[in-house]
Amino acid sequence: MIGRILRIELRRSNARWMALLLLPAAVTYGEAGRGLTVLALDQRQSLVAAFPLAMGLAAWHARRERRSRMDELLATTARPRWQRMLPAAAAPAIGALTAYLVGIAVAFGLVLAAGGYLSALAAPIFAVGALGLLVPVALGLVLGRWLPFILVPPVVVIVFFLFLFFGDTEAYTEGPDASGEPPGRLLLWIALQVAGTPFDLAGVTARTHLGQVLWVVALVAAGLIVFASASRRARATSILVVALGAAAALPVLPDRYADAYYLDPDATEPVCTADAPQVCVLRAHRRALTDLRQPARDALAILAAKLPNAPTSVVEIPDPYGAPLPPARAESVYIVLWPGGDGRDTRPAADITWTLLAGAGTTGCANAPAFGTPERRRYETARIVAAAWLLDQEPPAPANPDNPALPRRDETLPAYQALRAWPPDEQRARVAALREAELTCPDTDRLDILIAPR
Amino acid sequence: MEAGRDEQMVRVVGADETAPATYAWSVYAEGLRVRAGRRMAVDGLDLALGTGVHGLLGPNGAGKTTLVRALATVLRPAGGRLSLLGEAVNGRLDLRRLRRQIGYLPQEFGYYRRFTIREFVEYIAWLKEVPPAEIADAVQRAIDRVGLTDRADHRMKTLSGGMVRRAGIAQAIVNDPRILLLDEPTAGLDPDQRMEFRALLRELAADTCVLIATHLVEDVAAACTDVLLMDAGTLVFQGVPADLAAAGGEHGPGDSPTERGYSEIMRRHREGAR
Repeated sequence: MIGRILRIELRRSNARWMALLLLPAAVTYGEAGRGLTVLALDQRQSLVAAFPLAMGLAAWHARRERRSRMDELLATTARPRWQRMLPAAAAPAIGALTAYLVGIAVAFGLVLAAGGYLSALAAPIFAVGALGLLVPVALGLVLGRWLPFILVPPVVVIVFFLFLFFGDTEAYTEGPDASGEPPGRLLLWIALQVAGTPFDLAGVTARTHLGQVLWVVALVAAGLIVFASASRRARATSILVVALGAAAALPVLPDRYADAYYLDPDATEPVCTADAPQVCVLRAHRRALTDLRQPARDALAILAAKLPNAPTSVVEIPDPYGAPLPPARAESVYIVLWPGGDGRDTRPAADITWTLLAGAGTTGCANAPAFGTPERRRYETARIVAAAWLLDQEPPAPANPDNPALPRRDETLPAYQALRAWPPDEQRARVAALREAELTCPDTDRLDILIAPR
Repeated sequence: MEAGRDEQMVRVVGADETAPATYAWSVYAEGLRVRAGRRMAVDGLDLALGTGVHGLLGPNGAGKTTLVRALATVLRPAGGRLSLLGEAVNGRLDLRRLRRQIGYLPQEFGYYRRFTIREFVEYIAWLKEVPPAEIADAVQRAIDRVGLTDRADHRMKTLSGGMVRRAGIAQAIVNDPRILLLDEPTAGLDPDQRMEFRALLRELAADTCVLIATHLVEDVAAACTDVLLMDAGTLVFQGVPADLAAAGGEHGPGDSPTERGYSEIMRRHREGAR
């Protein structure tokens, strides 16, 4: 019977509008080639924009009882109030979740079609997001029931939207903690995003999920309690539930927003060519292996022809986002890839080769001079000149001439010519020495290694 | 209508329906006082009602609706004694069990406009905790009995005033109540519908205590087994319709014996009160 009542509620409430109107926010379109986690996190972000609408529609639905003056008749029915309110609350919730489910199905289909990485870590992201969507629904129901005025739902939508529009940016620009990142308590806000996070290789940490679930369940439960019961005790209970939810969630959530993520070991597992020389990419980037294979082999061939103890493989490593790269190894050249929305690395092959040969096939040292300093420019100049020498080409102009960290052409070209002025064996020995220095990372000036008189 | 009766004959009868009544009166009140806002709208009312159709008459403001709302368990009595189906209405009463056996059509009958009649009656049947297996039949029977069979799947918002009233009666009788409270049930009904409604009342009267609050004296004369007159919160007359007609004589104000009886009793009561 409850199923029958629920069907009536679904048919005769605005549940269908809820599903339809939330759909644009629930469906994410872009970057499917970057994998399911990316779309799941995108969806979490874009759904927050639909929270005001979900809240307004739920409030509209909850006005029904008093607007239709049913309260007199309903006051005399036998069934406990909460049993009547459950299907009434379920209708908008099911409407909202339908939109969410369609969004998940579309995301899944898009990733599948694009050949992107279907990470299992997207599942809890979707699940917590679905729970989170129930928060505006529950709060809307409470508002509509206690303030059943016609203006309440539209005002709710507008005010909440404005709050999102202005409040959110403020949280990002004014809320950073000492480490320059938004504090972790912002995760109470159900969206998950921090600029620069490698979404395609990331999973959300369990404690983030747990903290958000605790908080969301508390909010939804509090909303349902107030919606389903008219008593003063219910209101007091709901306030207590919210307080308990916050108290339980805050210690569980990570302190720093960036700690909400970790590198997914599955997504970052290497996928390699079967034949030698070996070229490997991360599993989440496996489509980019096509783009990397040829320039990688070109680079390995050049290194083998011109330097002793040349590396024998090219391996993609995850971008550590600000953290130092892992120390380079003698047998492998490391590279960081940023595949586009289709999962491919669309740079010209020659650019990839340049990148691989920088520093004579090394990734740079963690103790390199700070960005923006003249020492850093000397350091980068040495790395570029080494690549230019290996390729037998003059160094190109920097991709971004305004970047103070990048050496200008009037710095790299004279250095290149100075290296070239040495006899061939001396040139080779100096580039080999630079490579050695970049592998062992002593605190020495790299450009001196290439061009300083002995 | 016929189809509805057939179904009625084969429906499952619950144990609580066949159990003999253990109480003398369906509704019993002694010195009942009920507040309507700040006013004591029912003030020291004595009342005893058994099965049958009881017409409750009285001028505007006499306290009819307040009395009906108290009997419907919307309002708690402010004083005196009230028992429904043998149960004293006080703080300890299990309202849930009692409410399953009450049908109520409020004076201002609100409804969900987007529901169809069937959905609406079904919804109320569910809320009155009619056993799930019986709901579909009970709903059909209630709709049939008020003559809305061919409209059952129309939205409530498409109905005329009279049809809404009949849908309201359908939801009130869907749980086969022991106490049926109808506040102005004939408002908006045309003469034919009123006649059908009276026939329905006669049918219900056999095993139900029906209380009809109304302004329409002729409804009472035609369909009620018992007439109650209220004024200023108290009961001023209780008797059969013939007693009411007899009280009026030939020449008082009013167009029918019942109307004359009504105004005569009211006049006498008010003079006595002075």
